[in-house]
Amino acid sequence: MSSERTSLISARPPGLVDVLDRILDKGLVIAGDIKVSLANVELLTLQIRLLVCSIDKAEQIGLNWWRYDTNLTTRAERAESENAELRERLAELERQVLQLSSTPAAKAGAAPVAGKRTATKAAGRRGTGASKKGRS
Amino acid sequence: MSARKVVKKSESALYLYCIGEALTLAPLLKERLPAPIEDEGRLELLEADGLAAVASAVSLKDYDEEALQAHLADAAWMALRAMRHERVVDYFAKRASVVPLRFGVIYLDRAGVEQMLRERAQELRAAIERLEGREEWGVNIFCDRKALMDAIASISQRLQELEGQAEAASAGQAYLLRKKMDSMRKDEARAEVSRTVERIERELREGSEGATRLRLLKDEAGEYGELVGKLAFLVERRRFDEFRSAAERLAGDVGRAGFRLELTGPWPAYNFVTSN
Repeated sequence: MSSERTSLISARPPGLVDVLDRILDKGLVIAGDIKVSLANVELLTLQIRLLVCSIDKAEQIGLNWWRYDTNLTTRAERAESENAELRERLAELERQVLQLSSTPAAKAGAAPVAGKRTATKAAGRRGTGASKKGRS
Repeated sequence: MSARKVVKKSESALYLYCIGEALTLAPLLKERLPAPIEDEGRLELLEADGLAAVASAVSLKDYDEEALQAHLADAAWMALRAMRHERVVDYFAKRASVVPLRFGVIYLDRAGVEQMLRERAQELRAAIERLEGREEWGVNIFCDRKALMDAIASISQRLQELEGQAEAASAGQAYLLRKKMDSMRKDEARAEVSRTVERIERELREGSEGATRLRLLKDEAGEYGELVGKLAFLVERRRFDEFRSAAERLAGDVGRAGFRLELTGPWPAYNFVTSN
């Protein structure tokens, strides 16, 4: 694994803006029963980008659980108390976010967070790739 | 098809995350799961024809058309739901081949979901099969304008000639020459940015099963400078090391001109399922 070597490219866990780029704009579109107009994705993403700075601030003070945490999703045993704790922290983060968003951060732009998890770590977990070339 | 009755009185609806093979997804629900988009719901599978949609219940108080539209303008509300949507899809995508859905696919009842699965079975199966063993990687390209300008000044012969002329010229002429050089540098920089983005796309595409460009928003910046390109690649898991090495090599090459690459992922294949 190359996780520790100094790299010319920076790898990081997906941030909020990357997520929005995908789930609001991409992903399979199925009409469903509720009409959702995502026409103004750009505006929303811009608004949220302002928030990201604030959320990064929230992370600095330890509210970083909502970032990708592979342990959180792979551990098999169920820890209810931890769940309750997470909910509590979520509520706290929500309060924090609301508070921070009411004083819009002046500096726009989501600073990429230097993530500790490097890209290779999560790759190649399953080597079951059915090789079907040329289709995309 | 329209015979399906919509239960008006129902207060809850089903929010969908992704679709996969029922047999593959069923065991995954016994594991420890990420939080659904709303706490009141619980992740479940809705099956038809061997396909299954991952869904959870949401209240129509927040997810009918009107309420949702209002929420969509609320950045704080959206930020949390976006992360939750992604975490759920990500959980399944890391363990099975799934078709990730866009935010906001909502049905009023199970019958609606089942009917959709049946109607689109062929298309969904083809996508599930195509995505098997593959995942999406994002490559963001940043440009440090100052470093780029310096690099351009040092490689452009024409600019060096003009610089020489300016030094020898009278003050008035030198001023005009420098103005001309300024605009030349800007043009060159613009051209260099698009050449670089194209090159990265072309070269990384070779080690992938597909490539696409994401839309750039206005003034996207980061700690590495201005964001000049957002690319996404569909990569075979077993070929990822190869893909990464290619990205490293490119990063070394373009780094001298002030470009920096950032790799994000692995992602569910959001950019490689669009049907339209």
